[in-house]
Amino acid sequence: MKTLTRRLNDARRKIREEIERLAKEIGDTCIIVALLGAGGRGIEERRLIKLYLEKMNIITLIPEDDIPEELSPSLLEEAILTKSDIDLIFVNVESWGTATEFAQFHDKREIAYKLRVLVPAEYHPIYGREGGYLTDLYLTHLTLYGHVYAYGNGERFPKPEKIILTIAKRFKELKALGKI
Amino acid sequence: MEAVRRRLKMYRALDNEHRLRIVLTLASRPGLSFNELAGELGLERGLLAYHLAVLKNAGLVELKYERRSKKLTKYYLTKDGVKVLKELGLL
Repeated sequence: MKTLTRRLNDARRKIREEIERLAKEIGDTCIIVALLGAGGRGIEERRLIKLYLEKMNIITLIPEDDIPEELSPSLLEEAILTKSDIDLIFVNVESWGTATEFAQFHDKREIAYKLRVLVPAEYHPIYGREGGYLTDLYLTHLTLYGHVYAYGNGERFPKPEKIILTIAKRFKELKALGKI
Repeated sequence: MEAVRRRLKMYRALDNEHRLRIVLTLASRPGLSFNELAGELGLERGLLAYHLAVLKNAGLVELKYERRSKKLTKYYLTKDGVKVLKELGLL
C-alpha cells in the first residue's frame, strides 16, 4: 500500500506528463493571470476581459470576485503578489489605492518581474507629462523590469483591454513554445 | 479541441502541491468551510484563497454560500474534480 506522499509524488509526475502531452497535442498551454484594479472601479471591464481570456484558455483571477464573502479582496491580492505561482499580474493603476499597492510590491524582485503595469498615458514616465512620486516609481519599475504600459481611449494610446489581451496571448504562446 | 483545452486547464491548476492537497482534502471531506480548510491544511488564509480561486476557475472546485448567523462559504469538488482525481489514482 503506497503512502500518501508516494501517491502524491506519483500524481504530480502524472500531472506534469499529462500537461506536456496535452500541450503538444493542441500546440497550446494554459497560464494563470490576475487582473488587479481599484475595487469597484473598472470591475465590469475586468470581468469582460476575463471572458475573453478564458476563451484563450487562461485561468483568470479577479480578487473581488474570487475571494469568499467572509474575506477581504486585499488578502487575495497580497497572496497573489507574494506567494503565488501565478504567471502574470496585470495591475491597472486607476486609483491611489492601486498605486499604493503597486508601490508596496514593485520592489519585491520575486514578483516584480511578473507585473504588467497599466497606467493612464498622462502618468506614463516616458509618454506622459505629469510628474510626481508615482510617475517616478513607474520610471524605476520600467527601468528595472520594463512592462509599464500607457493606456488611453484607443486613439493615441490603446485601451487597457487591448494591452492585456495582446500580452497575455503572446505570453501563453511563448510559454507553449518553451521560451518562458 | 475544447475538451482538451478544458482538461489542460484542470491539470495546470493541479500542478501545485498546495492545490493537490486541497482537492484531496475536499474529496475526503466535502463541504468544508473556508476556515475549516485553512485549519485542516495549515495554510495562510490569503494563500488558501488564491489556490481555491485557481481551482474554482479551472472548474475543479465549487463553492456554495450558506447563511446562518454569518456568511459561510463551503467548498466541494465538482464532477470534473472527482473524475480527475480518479484518473490520477488518488481516489
